[in-house]
Amino acid sequence: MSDPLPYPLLLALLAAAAAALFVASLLTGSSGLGLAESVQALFAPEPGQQAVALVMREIRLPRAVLGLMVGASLGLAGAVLQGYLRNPLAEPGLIGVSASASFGAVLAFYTGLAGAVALALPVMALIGALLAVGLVFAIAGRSRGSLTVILAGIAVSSLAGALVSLTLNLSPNPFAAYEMMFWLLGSLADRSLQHVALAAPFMLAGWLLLGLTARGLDALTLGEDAAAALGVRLGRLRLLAVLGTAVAVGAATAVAGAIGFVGLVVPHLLRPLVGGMPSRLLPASALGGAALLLAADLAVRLIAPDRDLKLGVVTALIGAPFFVWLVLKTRRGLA
Amino acid sequence: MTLLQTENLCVRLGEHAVVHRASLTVGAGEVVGLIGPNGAGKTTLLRAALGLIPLEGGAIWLGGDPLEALAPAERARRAAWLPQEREIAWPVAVERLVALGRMPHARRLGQPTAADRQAVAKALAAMEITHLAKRPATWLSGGERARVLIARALAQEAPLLMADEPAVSLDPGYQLGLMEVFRQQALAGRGVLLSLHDLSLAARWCDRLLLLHEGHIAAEGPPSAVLTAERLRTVYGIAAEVAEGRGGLSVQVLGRTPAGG
Amino acid sequence: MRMAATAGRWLLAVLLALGFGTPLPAMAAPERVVSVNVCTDQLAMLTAAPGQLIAVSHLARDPYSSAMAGEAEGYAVTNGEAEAVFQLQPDLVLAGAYTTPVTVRLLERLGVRVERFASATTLSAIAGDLRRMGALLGQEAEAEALAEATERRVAALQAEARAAGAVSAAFLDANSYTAGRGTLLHAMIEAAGMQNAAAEQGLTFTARLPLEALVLAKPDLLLLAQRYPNPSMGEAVLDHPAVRALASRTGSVEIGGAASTCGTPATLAAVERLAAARRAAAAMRSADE
Repeated sequence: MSDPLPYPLLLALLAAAAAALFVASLLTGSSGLGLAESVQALFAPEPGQQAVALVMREIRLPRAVLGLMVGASLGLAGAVLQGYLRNPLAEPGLIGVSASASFGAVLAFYTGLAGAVALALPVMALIGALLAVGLVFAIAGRSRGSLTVILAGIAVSSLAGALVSLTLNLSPNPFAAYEMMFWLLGSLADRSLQHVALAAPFMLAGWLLLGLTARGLDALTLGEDAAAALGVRLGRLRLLAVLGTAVAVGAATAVAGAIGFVGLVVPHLLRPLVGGMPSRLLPASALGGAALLLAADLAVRLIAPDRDLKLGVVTALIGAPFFVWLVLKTRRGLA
Repeated sequence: MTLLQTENLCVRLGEHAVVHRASLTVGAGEVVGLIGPNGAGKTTLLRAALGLIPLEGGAIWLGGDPLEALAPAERARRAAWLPQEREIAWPVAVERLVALGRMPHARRLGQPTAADRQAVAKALAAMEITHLAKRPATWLSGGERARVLIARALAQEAPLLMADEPAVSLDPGYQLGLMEVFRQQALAGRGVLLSLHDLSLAARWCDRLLLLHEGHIAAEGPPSAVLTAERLRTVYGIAAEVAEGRGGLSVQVLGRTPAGG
Repeated sequence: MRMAATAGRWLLAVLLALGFGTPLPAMAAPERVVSVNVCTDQLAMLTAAPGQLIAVSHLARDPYSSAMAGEAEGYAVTNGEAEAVFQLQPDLVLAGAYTTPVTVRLLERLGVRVERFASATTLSAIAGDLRRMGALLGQEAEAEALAEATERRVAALQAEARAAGAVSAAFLDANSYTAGRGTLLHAMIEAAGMQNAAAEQGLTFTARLPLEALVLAKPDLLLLAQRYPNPSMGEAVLDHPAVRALASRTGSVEIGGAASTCGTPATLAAVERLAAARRAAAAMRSADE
């Protein structure tokens, strides 16, 4: 049984899908703007088109860019986590990384720290993510069972969620208490180029670190001992996976909140198409994640145009049934 | 040429001294069998010799150079390791899995070379799994999987091949096939160090045996010298008869005796 | 046991009598007045005789909701719950139209007189509310003075507004909310001589105005809600680059809840400021043309 699709073709298709959805995202918004008008205002606005240019550049563009980058970060991190833990149920949301990053971001934002030092927001989110990944990896350690990893993830998620809620309720600002939905379900609404500037460098750095795990993950298919004997430095691999996930997912969560299931669904759906090779799954998952999140963000704007429907709702509607199917399949496989 | 040499190897796991002052050599052109009861420390000894676990004491030379001086990739080029855990995490096609054995030879972002493809093809043929090349490795039976993983180690084309219980879960026919492959490797100038449970297999196919007992190398030498009834009683707690039969030396287990003594 | 039954029947009779809710005929001015709504708090503080108003709601002291936060320090506060209010033994409780109905009904069943005021949504209602408050508290003279002053200011503003050119304004609150037709803010904007961009888009009451719609409406003046000192995601939209770009072109005015939550003389002061901003915006625009 050879691959259904040649690998370069698969990547090209995924890239095309992501690009198409990016463009669709630029053209979707609460105000119906014509195609020609939007495109012109984005690149070369005429004097009378100031307002449209403002909408395109400051409102729609950041949203589309973040959809692309956050989705790619989540897909890529999910693929790396699954590859490293050799566990198809691993992903940043389920193992508590996103929720912990949210807590770090919430701490930075509501104490006013992020207002004083802009970088505090992604950095503290990164630290939160790091603690979660580190903890789960330490717990997963020797025992590779799904159960330990998922239990650790539930524990971390619950704790982080509770801490987010506590921090929000202790904030003097009366709006804060109602903002839990943003942090724990995620949203790209009204994001700005400032958010892009803040998060993009971290996400790119994270992608680099995660990309370096590719070959090591391939070798890990045979188990840790065999991989080490094939020349893989396991300590370095672990560090790259932990750090890369923390940096990419931390920054993404800092500006978009915790978005779950993207890192679970995308690597899963694409794995058969790349012949199961973890190294091939990485770029594919990044592109697939970008496409999925952009699609979800489009759905959010099309389903409830004037309301602020959270992204996590859509990803959960896709992801949760998928997760249940996955658990049943894994159980059957183990039986 | 000595492919592997250890001197007074000591390994401690927790409070236990699992391997105690083990000294051994493996040379080119020989098949060396490591035998001993469960818990004697065979796996630990093999893993320690590859640098996979830290030593409490002793020294190791791989291909003539001290192990610590070698980078992990260089170690992988000198010795191929087949662990006991038959792990295959993802449904990767058999030929891709076997191709993982070429990793120590690969360049940074290199595509497989002709040499790589040839090595993989040879390994598949040697283990008689060429017909399974495109199948996802996780769809195979236990025996087929074992052969796939051995093929991976063969594809590595390292001068020294180390295997932990490679014959377990193979049909008798394939067990013989495996030992023949190892013999071919030795004839081609490589060295093979493997741990075995089946004493007859060990007796028949190994040039030398190392008998491990409670972490010590209790005996070392040709099978006929190591496999004596007395030793088998002491180490395994069995009464056995070692005889030269039609296929070679064979060990027939007659009964149990209290261990030790 | 029997005494309790008799007392119970007597209480029932009293409750039934009060349950018909007819306002009691002309009587002496109430001596123990408690207000549980931030708007009635302020109206009462403005008109009550010394010692007549014994407690106000805790929001009266919140400068983001009340224009008389300072004065409110001189009064006791309650959390508005029936038990706390009842313990003060008031003879009149002032509540808002939307004060928790459960609390109001409970107080009425306990035999307390409750008078409810709807939130003002027009400027002319302010004078009416002041007069009614004066009547309830037996302070008609004081209330009349304030009401007349209010009416004069409103008339002046309306005269000026009629002469004003077309200037549009948009109000932006946290979470992208705005004030549509039917809100006090809408009345304030119109009284200042401007067109409310939200109303022009057909929005009524408190409604969401997406950022894109705000930008494309191209308002001449931007009214931004007053922010709390600590950060929140909801208020972050007020700092969005698109909003700041808009504000740099049009100028912006901060509107606090103190002026726009309740209809009080402070509201008129805010409208007068808005009118001044309108004049400035109109001047800037004609300078551009």
